[in-house]
Amino acid sequence: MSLSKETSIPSGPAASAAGRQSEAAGSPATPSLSIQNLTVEFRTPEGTVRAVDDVSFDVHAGETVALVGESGCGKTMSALAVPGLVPAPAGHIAAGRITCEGRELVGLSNRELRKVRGSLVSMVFQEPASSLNPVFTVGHQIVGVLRAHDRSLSRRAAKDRAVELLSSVGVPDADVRARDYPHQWSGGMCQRALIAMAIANRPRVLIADEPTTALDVTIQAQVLEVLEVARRETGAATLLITHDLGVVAEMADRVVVMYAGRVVETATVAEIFHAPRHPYTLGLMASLPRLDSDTRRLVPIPGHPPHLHRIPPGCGFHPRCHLRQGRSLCAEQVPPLVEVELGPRRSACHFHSEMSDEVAVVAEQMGADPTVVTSP
Amino acid sequence: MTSSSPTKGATSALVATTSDAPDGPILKVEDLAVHFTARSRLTRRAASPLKAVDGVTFSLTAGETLGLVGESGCGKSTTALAVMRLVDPAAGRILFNGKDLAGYSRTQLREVRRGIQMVFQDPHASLDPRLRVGASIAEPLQIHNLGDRCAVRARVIELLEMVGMDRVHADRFPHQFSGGQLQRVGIARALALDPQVLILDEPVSALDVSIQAQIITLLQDLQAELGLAYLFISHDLSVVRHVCDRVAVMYLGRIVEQGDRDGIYRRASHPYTQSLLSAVPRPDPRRRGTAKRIVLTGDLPNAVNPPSGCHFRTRCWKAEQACAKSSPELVDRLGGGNRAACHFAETLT
Repeated sequence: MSLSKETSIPSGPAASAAGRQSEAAGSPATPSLSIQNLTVEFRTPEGTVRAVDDVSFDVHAGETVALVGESGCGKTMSALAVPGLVPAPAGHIAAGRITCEGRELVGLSNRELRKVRGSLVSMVFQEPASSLNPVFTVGHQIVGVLRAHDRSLSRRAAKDRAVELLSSVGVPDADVRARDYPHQWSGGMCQRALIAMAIANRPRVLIADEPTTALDVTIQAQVLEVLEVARRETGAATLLITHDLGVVAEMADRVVVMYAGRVVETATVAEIFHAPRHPYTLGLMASLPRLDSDTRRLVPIPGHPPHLHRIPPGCGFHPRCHLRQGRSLCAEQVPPLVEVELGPRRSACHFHSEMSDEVAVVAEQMGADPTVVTSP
Repeated sequence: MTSSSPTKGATSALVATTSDAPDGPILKVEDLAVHFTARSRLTRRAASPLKAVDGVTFSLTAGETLGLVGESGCGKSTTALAVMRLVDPAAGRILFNGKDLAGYSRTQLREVRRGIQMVFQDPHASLDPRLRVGASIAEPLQIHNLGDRCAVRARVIELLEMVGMDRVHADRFPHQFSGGQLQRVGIARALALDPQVLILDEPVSALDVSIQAQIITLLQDLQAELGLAYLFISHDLSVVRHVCDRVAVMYLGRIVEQGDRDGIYRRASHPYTQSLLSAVPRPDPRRRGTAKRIVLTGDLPNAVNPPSGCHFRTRCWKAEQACAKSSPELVDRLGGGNRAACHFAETLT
């Protein structure tokens, strides 16, 4: 683990610029998390399904990458594969490499993975209440995480550190509240405790799977702030999994869009929102009701996402795609994720060069300003 | 998927509408209160009641959508259940076409419920998994003895086509559909009796963005064609802005602010509405960091023992002694059209 990276943590936009540069210039900095050609398969009574199909992306230290897509697109499974949490025996990693700070994680034994989880890579899950053990106090559980990775830490010291962590995530009267049981805490408070637990051992990679989906909007704002502080303080590479494009716009530096198990587009957050280069990304933007506007019509994507057993041949999105216009290539060949005209961003669409016209077409349908379809 | 335009004539031939509709609101709710009482397991003595809904007043006219928004536990769903008389109100009046439903018997309610129907959040849970969806949609027609088998079948197919589905879907089971398709079935079933009011309880919250947009457009099309009144319950302020004409914001059982859409979204004057609106993440990365966010401290107080006076005062940055003493009336203090229950209502500049 290189400590040098910890000392200079670039802030939001700077970090994304650094990320882009490194991709362009043959990566001078090794990413904290690198997923290459990951494929996750599940055996089901109706045959083997591919939940994640040839997914590759990097997350650099101090950077937040959002993994977005609708339910069943493989975003959660891609993330679970990192700390080796793909549900076995039905599921397994069929191919690909996952490296964290240069260390290969695929193929590690359970014993080795336990050392990685909670120290090198840690996770925050969606349901805060069910992620905590109801029969132990919150403080006890944080002490457990600390001592699991550092046997030399005394109980007393671990307890102090747990209280310190709880107050750093904004738990008031942390020394008293640490003695509470999870049921005495609200959902937002439990999520704070889980974030404290996740950053307890200064992980290099922090994975947050829909961390605010179960929370009310005012509590969500508090928890997002805590996550941002946690990222800044630990300098960890953050992988944020969410379906909420508002959260993406506020938190992410770069975005990876998934559909039917594959990555369809990756770009910086501004590019994704203001100049999407894949028809699915554009469809998501056009489907989104905005708090700041009521004049525009929603343009929904027709149809529904495919069942994993019946992923269409060629481009998985082609049956719902407006840009396809009957062209047979889309149904025959899987489009590769290639670099598109606007710098080091990628799109998996055969006809990505037609996207700027497509944006204008959709903008007209929405009755919005054609220059920027996605802003109010 | 576009819904075929339904023929209103054929519909009313089958379902006699109670269309002696007087002008003004179809549905009027006055000072509605719902109390839940838990009994101690040991002594069987009733504890102090939880006031889930406390003095809620609103009205709904034909062709209009009223949004009821608020966070979990604010009483918005309980309000809906009380309007349907699925829970019994402790006080208040529910006037449907001018008649008070409060004292109605079960048989009388059955007739009334033809006019007010409900669509629930989770379509997987609200449809019987062992019934073909055609049978689920036909059920309300059979209960009300509307037509023979042939007529019912024809009406089911008409309803399916109205919600953008196909006649072949009638013979399939719920597990064969996606969430979005099931929500269409739920809407078709709610429309079966040709209601005047549809209560939509978080109808798109369980759906993915692309499907959510389909259902929202479907609901808007149906409203334009059938002149339905919607009571739209949601925690999603962006969706509410898109579909509602008027909005009521609830906090701990009470309406804290009510107004037309522009009034609420542009000139909110209750601190709770303001904090709620500021907390919603904006899907526009260029504006990151520019929006002034009001982050509320603390959690929702216990509803069994809410704060005295204004319920919001424990989390409010404006709270003064007066707030603990008297609970503020829901009135238009600023003359801008919004009624806000705050002693210190003011718009943000």
